[in-house]
Amino acid sequence: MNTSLTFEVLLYLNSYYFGLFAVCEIGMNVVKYMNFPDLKHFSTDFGILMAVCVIELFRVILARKGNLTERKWPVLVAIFLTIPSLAGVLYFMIWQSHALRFEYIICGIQVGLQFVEIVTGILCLLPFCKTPEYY
Amino acid sequence: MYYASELIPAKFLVLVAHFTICVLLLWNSPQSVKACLTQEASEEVFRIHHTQLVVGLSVSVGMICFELFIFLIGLTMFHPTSALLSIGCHASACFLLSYIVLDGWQCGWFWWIFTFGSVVPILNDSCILVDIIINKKY
Repeated sequence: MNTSLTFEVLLYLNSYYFGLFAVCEIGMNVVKYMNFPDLKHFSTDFGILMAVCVIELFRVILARKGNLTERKWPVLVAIFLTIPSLAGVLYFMIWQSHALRFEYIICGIQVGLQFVEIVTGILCLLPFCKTPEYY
Repeated sequence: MYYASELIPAKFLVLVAHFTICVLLLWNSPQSVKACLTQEASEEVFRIHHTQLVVGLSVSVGMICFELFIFLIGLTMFHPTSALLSIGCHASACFLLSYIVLDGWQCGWFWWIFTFGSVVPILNDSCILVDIIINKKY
């Protein structure tokens, strides 16, 4: 199996999925702000959402560039950036003020994608998983 | 090839959207059945409709997962016609299922959505899979 290709496909699809995820989350935060006046940590929730958006954007760009140019450092940094991003998504699932069922599902899919990306990203860095080059 | 590459994320997102709405309906199935039945419906009628809806939605989720799997491993990723059919069927199913969530339609209408939104694309993908296996295109 070509791990680099799998990693690239996952990153490509995740870049689109995260766009949808971010739009849904922002929309749901707006709806919650309008319908639940007793929200205690709305600003924290929204701040974490924005931070996750920025981290995810840098992570996907770095990972795709590193993977396409076959350089290790950008992929390694992208793998480390997955940890705060994963923590942010888990925050929306578990610790935020009012988690909706829809949020549980979309966050679950995002966590699954990120987990598979970490595994394929690590496999990409290992020397025995490199595709052989024939000259 | 250019058009196919544009269809890949669209198919992925539509499949994920259909999966999400099916899981959401499955999670909230008693309320969905109550919304589609009349006030006078007995406990027995409710139980029968609830079982039918849960089975239908579970099969639908299984089909979507299978379709997503053969799409992600690349077997149906570069078939633009199949992708277009799949996008059309799943997008219509998402739209109609969201109406079921919001409005509470008749329970029997779910099976029409199930047939055209889940069975048709899986049959199409299965034909592609059989073609790949028989002609050894892998």
